[in-house]
Amino acid sequence: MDLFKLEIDGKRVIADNRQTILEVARGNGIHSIPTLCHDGQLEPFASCFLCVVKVRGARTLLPACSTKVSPGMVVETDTAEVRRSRKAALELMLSNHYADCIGPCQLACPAGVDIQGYIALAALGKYRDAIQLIKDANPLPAVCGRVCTRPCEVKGCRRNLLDEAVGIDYIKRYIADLDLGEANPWRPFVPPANGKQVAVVGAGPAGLSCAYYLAIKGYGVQMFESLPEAGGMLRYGIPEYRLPKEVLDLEINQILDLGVNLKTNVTLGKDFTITGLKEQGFSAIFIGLGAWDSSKMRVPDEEAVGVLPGIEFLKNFGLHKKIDIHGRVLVVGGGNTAIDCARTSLRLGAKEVILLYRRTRKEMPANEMEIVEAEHEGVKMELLVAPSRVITDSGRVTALECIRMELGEPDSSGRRSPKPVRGSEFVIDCDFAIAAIGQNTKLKELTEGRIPNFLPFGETLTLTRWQTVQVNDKTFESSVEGVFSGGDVVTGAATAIEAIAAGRKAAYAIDAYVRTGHAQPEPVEFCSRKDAYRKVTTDDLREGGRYARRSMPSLPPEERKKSFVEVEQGYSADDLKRESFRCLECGCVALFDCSLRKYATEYQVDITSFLGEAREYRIDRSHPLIELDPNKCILCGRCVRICSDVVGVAAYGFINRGFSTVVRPALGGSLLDTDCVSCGLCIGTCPTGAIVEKIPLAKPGPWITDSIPTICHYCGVGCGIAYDVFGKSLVKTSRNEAAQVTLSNHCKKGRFGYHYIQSRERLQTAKIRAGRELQEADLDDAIGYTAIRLKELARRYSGGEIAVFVSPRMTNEEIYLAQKFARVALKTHNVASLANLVNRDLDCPEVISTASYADLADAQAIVVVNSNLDEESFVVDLLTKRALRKGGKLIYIGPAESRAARFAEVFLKCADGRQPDVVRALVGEVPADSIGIDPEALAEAQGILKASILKVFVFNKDYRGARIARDERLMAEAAEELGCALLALREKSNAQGLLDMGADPRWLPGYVDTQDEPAIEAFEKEWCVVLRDMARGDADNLAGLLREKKIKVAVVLGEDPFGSEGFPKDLLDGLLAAEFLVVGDLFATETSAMANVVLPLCSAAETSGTYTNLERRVQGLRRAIPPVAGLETWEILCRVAAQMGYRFKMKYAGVDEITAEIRRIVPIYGGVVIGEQGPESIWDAAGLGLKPVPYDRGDGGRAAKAVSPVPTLFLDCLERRFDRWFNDIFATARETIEVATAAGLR
Amino acid sequence: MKVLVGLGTCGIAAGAEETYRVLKEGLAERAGLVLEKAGCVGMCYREPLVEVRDDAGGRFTYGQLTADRVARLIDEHIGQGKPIEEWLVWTNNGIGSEKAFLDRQNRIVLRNCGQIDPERIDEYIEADGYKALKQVLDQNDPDGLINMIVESGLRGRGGAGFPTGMKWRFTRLAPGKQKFVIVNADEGDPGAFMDRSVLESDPHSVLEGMTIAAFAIGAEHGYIYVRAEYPKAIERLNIAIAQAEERGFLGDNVLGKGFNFHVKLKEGAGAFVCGEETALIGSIEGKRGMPRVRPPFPASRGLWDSPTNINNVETFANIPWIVLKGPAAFNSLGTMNSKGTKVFAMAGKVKRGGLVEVPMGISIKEIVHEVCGGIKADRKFKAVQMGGPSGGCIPAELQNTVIDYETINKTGAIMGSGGLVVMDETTCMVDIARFFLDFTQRESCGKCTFCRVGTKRMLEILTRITEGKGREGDIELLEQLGSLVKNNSLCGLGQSAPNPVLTTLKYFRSEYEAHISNKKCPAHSCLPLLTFTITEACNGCMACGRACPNQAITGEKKKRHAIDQAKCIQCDECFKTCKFEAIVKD
Repeated sequence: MDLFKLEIDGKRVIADNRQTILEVARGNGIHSIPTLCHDGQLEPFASCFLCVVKVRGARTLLPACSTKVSPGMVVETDTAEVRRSRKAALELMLSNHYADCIGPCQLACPAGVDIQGYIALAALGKYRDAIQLIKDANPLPAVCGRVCTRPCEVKGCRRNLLDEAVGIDYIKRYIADLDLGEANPWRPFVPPANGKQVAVVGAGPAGLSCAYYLAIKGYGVQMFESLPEAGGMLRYGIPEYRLPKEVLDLEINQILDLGVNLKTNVTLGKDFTITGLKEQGFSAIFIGLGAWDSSKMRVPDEEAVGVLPGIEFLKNFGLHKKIDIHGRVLVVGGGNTAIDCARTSLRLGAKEVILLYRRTRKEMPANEMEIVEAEHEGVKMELLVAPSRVITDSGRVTALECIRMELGEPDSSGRRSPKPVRGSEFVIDCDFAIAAIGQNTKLKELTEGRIPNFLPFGETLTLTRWQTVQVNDKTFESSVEGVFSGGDVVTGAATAIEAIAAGRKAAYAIDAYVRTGHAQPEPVEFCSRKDAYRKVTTDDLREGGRYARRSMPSLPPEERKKSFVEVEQGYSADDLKRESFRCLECGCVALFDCSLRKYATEYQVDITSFLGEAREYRIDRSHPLIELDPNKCILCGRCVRICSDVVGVAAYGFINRGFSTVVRPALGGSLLDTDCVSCGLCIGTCPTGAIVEKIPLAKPGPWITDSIPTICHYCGVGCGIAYDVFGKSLVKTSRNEAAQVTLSNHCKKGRFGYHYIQSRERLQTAKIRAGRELQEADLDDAIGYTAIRLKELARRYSGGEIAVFVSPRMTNEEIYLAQKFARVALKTHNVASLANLVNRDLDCPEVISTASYADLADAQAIVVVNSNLDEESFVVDLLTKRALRKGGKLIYIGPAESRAARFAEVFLKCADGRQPDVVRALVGEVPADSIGIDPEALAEAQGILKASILKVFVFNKDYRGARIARDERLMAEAAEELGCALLALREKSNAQGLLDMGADPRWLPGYVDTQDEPAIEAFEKEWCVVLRDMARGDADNLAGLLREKKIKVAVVLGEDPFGSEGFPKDLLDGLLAAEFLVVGDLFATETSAMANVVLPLCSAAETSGTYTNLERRVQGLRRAIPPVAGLETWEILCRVAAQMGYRFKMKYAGVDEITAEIRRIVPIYGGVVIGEQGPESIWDAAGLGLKPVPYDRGDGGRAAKAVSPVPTLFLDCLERRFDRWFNDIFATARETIEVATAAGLR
Repeated sequence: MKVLVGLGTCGIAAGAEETYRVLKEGLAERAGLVLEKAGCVGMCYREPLVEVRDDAGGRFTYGQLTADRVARLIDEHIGQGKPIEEWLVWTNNGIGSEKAFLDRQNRIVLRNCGQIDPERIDEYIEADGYKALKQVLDQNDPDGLINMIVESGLRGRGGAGFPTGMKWRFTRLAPGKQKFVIVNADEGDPGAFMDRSVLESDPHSVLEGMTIAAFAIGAEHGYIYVRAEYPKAIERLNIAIAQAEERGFLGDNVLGKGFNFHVKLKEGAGAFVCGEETALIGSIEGKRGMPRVRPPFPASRGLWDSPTNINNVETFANIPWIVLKGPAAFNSLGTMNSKGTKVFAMAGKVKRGGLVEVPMGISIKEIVHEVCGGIKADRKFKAVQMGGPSGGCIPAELQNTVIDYETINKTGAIMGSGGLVVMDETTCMVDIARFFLDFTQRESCGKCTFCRVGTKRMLEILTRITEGKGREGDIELLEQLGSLVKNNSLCGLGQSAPNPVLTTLKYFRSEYEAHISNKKCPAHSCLPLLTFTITEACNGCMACGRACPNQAITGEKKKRHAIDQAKCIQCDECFKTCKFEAIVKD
């Protein structure tokens, strides 16, 4: 290794010659180098060419992931040339990427609402999360749920190809209405005021939306409205029967509740000016004035009495003015306003309403559904007709003269333009005529310069030739500094959702403008679209079944005419469920995890740059947990390499050559046909959505999740993983890249074993026994009851008659509290895990790991005894293989050929139970032939050990095969003799911590002898109790007490002895004999069925704290979701103690305080750095209170009594649940394949 | 008297086995006459070749000696001693139609090709075979040996031209218990067949060369990676290895000098990219043939992570000669930086297509016009394509360019392994670029983004240009993609894949423009761009009308026909049918 200096992006750094540019850059905080094919634990591959950098003097750009640094190197990671090259790489990859990032519905929505996301949440019944997701993009969902023109359904939804669009808008309305009806509707987080004020002129949809998004960014917002109430067109342009004003009011009030001020009856240009607003100190101004001027028909005598402008008509109605309308009403126009005028006229008493439209029905711009509704209600249509003259009598309209039209050539908008048919004039009599042919803004008077001092000196407000405000189409800036504008006043009459979108985008730009002085457009994320490669057709959707759309319950037409009661009644809960399941989930589930998309956005990729042939592949869904979609694959080979190089399975391979290359299960079969061990590491390493987990939710989202790093709670390895959480739901487990202890690896349990956490079978409440029945009880009541009973019983019985049992899967904090509870509140040292109790004979707590995983991964020689590594400690197996790849040699001692044994340099096969003899032979205590192993192999093993310096001895402390009592001590001594560090595997996540925390009758936390008076003084002081008077705990005796049925009070936390096969019956009887049995668990178990009180404990995802893994490394857990029953386990324990009178001794504000107490009084934990990845996070064995007990060689080990250990892996329900679930899904998957094969479908 | 029949794959394809069989029958009873198999002398365009060597030292090579001509040969030359002059292509006394072809050559690599029976080790030994190995083992001075190779100036003949001696030295100096020698015989360039011919005609020279290399670097094991499409080469290599082992030139204790060397043959499945050394090594290891990052180079971490020396067939075939004749004899040939000779596989529109070995420094013009007799049908020489799919086109204007690694590189082409395709005025340069790119894009291993997708996109652009669907901006897009692919690929395949496009764009840009802007193919080769018309030369024979699959040609018997352009599908059938040159395409 040579250390030298080099320069990256002008930063001088020190590196060594074995490092690559990428490693050096990242190690020095330079994160501007993107890569898709690189995974830290794999050899550099250099295929994506995204990581190219400029190295001074080099002829071409160089891939940073594989180029080694050299002295004096000058590297630039972000030049224009580099960016061009990266962009081209991404564009080439994406030119062959037949996949959708998001569904076409969301793409069609002007506001880009995450439709797939909220429909998925609705399907799962997570309505509050759904409303939150909707309001991320649209603050008026209840309004839009009624009035939206629904481009998402009409243009977007792919279901149109299959049957009918999903009722997206109806679903949205349901969610929004539900929320509005809540006592406590969802409210966004509003940060503290930032002190800046923004004026919003016009309280229509654009203004309201802008105000909302400014308010939740901390702005003070002042809205100005010229009409008496807020809502704009929503209130004064849309009739009540379509949008009840009550709904509008509720949503407006939610916005005003965020602190937005509204001033009504004030008009821009009359009551205030832009200049004035600026002078008042508004940092920015948003103008959303709408388009309120009805277009003229431009026919003679248009001014006659009885000819009404459409918008005026609707507005007057909205203003509750008395409107005279009767007889025959002609409505001219084909847009939504015309339909609204027609339907309103009907309701106001018109006898007959005829709609005159100059094109055909097909061209009508109004919503199809609105037209249909109008027809239902009796509105007549005269199509291909235009008015040519108003016929009057005494200045009042009596009829319209019309002319027939025919359709000519398509115009620039693509619509065929109507042309009058000469001589086809005819007359229609009428009492009223309403002109609803278009709307204009009323900006003229504002900009004509007649209002003094309207704009600051030197500024002009530029308008377009359509008399709308001219704005930058991305930032919504007008020509006046600090003035933004959006909605109809910019676009001319358009839709509510467009105005809402404009308001939100303007708010984003305004925020940037106020903070930086420069308006920034809302970022646009890259979107891959199948339709860009090839239009999706009905054939592509074959897999989706056909189900009719749930229709919207509506008022019968005859009732409608009588009133303005809302016509559409809204979905029922059942409608909603069924309709939401019709969603085809076109968007990618990896949407928010996809590095490809992230970089494509960052490098502003244009998907069309290199479009050409795009390959299309079948998606492999055979595996029950993993889905492989080669369409999304960029051939980075990470899955191929992680599976072959790290896991050693090689389930994936590259197939074909050139452009046709594809990653598929090796030899082209399905993933289920391979040796896949379902570790899921391929999912974690895949940088796109090509390999994803099949999320076991009815609708898998996707949603932007929070990734909560934590520690897996299955075995003692202690892999770092992460829980991906949306709202209060755990969506999935993912790889935690920061978890370097196990190189961010995990096994199938770590990746997939989380389903139980949100299972409906979890204990949601407590249970109390009433007679023979266990009855559900409020948790608080159960806690109170438990406390009263325990208090009374603790008084009645001695410590020797009380026992507490804790699971080695609980956190250090939980175990610590449990034993403290036992010792302080129940006055007993009888605290242990039942697992340790039944296998007491094998208990050698002083035999602990002295090796770390880093030692293992670097070892030159590894001895493995009593372990099927890849089954029991998968990630330790991966680390072993890593050592072997670097040249390390494996000596495997065990009874049977296993996958781990196949990697062994020397396999010393022996009968089960004879492993200790082989170990003794290895150290030279007994000759090889005396125990029946091959002397040559033994000699080879000895040779390897002799030649190696870094050596690790691995054995399973929880081995349940035949074994001889206390042989762990032999292993420890042999390891020492062989110069090996020791790695003692544990089957449960906190088996080590359980001992450390004093869940043993013999010692207090930190292995402090219960009779060691000077040492226990610290505990007495901390706990404020006298411990020295308590009877000495005796671990051997605890089992005896149970057997003799002397335990009168038992608390069992997280263990299920009754449900555990092979658990000794006499101990079970001992438990049954207890007078009072408290069981805490995640599920109702066979043990809880025996209890007097059942308490619902929290899972490892629902609490924080620490675990101590088999290396003795103290690792932090973080609470990801709230506990299902409301309280974390530690809280339950504290509350019981508090109600027993130990309020101050067991009072903690949070888990951190418990951790702090542990560190304060447990010396070995005092100096440990929790959560660090270095050696300092392993507690120091030198401070251990337990002395090594020498292995008794007197009897030669062989004369000792053989014991048959009780299997304890299934002593709690998790492993059993996992196994059953795992086997079931595979059985089903295999069956599916068999059926398909039999049917000739494969 | 001795009769040799050239039985290389080229000869066999031309019917040499039948010639051999008939000769064997015909000569069965003649005493004092030996009939032998030989390899290929390189005159592939005149196969089957038969050489008669009389007892007076006269050597007479006959071309196109098919089985039906055997009787006359036996009768006149063998029976009566009268050579048949009109069939002779070469004699050692200055007669023969192809005299220039062989006499202009300078044969080191091909020294034994066509001269000896490749299946008989004794003939090789007779031709000074294994003498160099013996000498090297006697001297027992690997460093001196390496110095000698360095001094000779021999550079890798696989294409890149890395100095062979240096490579050996690196491998020798690299730490490692076990080292390997690999012969790269995965000859994959379309049109290249030098390696095949050497392996078929003189396998022992390669074995001897690699054994010497093994001794130099300290390897005990060697692999010959040969493509499975070369069954004859594999067969003869297997025979040669067995014979060499039997005679003690291979195996344990070679020639009793305490040096062990074992050779294994590995058949490649025909992936072009396996010619790339790291992919080739991966393939031997049983992995997918996919190049990996270099460094580390194979010289330090190659096969099974051990130091590995990997050279091409032709490189190894040079070694025994250099050892025997000394480095000076070798480096006296050639130019400043390119020494010795180079074998070329001549193909395309050249009169004499086959293998030639010429000294470095000879010009392209000399090879094409003097050695190979110029362009077929005396058409206009347009360009040569050198280096196969990784190479480029050198236009006729640059025909004075001399054969030298650096000089060739300057043109944008590369020396490559020695494929040399000659083109005339009827060759469309866009189509040639498309042809080579089609090859590389299909042979890309699929690893690197630019090579996998970039070449595909370039091919799509070229294809649309040749179909008359080119767009404005396509040339710029090709240049942009070409440079991206070149600079962003891990191995030589990708780095050089755009060369055929970039060089044709450099020298024949106007041809591209004609395709795109005018929708014309100046070489009249891209059919969709052509208009077929019938001239006055038509005598109304009606043949074209019958040939037309779309009934686009009408006309009465003995009257000038006409083509209905709306119906014409540019299939070229009428043009091929017309015997009177009455159909023109433009």
